[in-house]
Amino acid sequence: MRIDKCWFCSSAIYPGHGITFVRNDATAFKFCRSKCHKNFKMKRNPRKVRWTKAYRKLAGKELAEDATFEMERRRNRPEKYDRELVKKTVQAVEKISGIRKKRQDRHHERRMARAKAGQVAQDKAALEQQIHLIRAPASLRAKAKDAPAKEKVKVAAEQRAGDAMQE
Amino acid sequence: MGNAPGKRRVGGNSKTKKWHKQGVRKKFEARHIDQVWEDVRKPPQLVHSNKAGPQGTTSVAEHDEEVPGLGQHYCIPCSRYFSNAGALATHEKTKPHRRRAKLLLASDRPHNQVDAEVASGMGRPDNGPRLRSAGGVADMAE
Repeated sequence: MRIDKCWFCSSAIYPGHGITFVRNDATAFKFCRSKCHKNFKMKRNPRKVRWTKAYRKLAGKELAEDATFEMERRRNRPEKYDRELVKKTVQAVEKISGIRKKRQDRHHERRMARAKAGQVAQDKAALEQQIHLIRAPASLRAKAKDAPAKEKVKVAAEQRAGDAMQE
Repeated sequence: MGNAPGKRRVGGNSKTKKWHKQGVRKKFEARHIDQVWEDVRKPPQLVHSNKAGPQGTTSVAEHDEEVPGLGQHYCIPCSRYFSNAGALATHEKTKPHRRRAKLLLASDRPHNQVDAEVASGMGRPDNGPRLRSAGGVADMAE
């Protein structure tokens, strides 16, 4: 029994599910559901359809290159049965999936952190540009009058601090 | 004759539906992008001889009278037959043809089953060590 992967969305196809299309040059295309089959018939490119794994990996949404991805493979050469080996493999599968999960989670966290930082920067820029919507321009001008003096002091203080550090 | 009371006519114009269906079918039955991608990288005689259609398929094994120009004039990037050499030459000067030819040569290999498996978190297929020398039957890699 083999659990195949969908040609379009890369999800697992369990026995009894999906459909296979064999083109007249003997290439087999396996699809997990009619949604993927229909998208294939419409000649859509999975790399450009945002809900497929191919897109998500290429766009950096998910962890793409990692040593843990090298374990599961289509092996076209049957291994000689060995009880010990099977035992070890089953143990390794568990361990490796755990490691992979952690790495994927970390990738997601980093992505979210980056997205959040970008959003904050965007919000700040928007606030600066559209400040006149929440504050009267007259009061802003009054504030700007005081501000330069304050900033000057601050910079000077910083410089002194920097000099002290160098010494 | 109208519809029975309370019944709405559904399905639209049957003639339009037929044309649409035929168009979609025709587009799907043409050579797929991954086949054409490989075709443009092969020597032309391996893709198309004047006696038989696109090689590597059973779609057009031998040209019959239904193929334009008896299959003598074939454009590989567009996978299209033309009725005479002049028409083919004119076609090769058109913008859609040039755009397509350029894109096919510049683009990466189109998506395939191996790509789908790699995207799902699998490694590349493992075919083990080669049992026989190069050119033997054991060479199953891609």
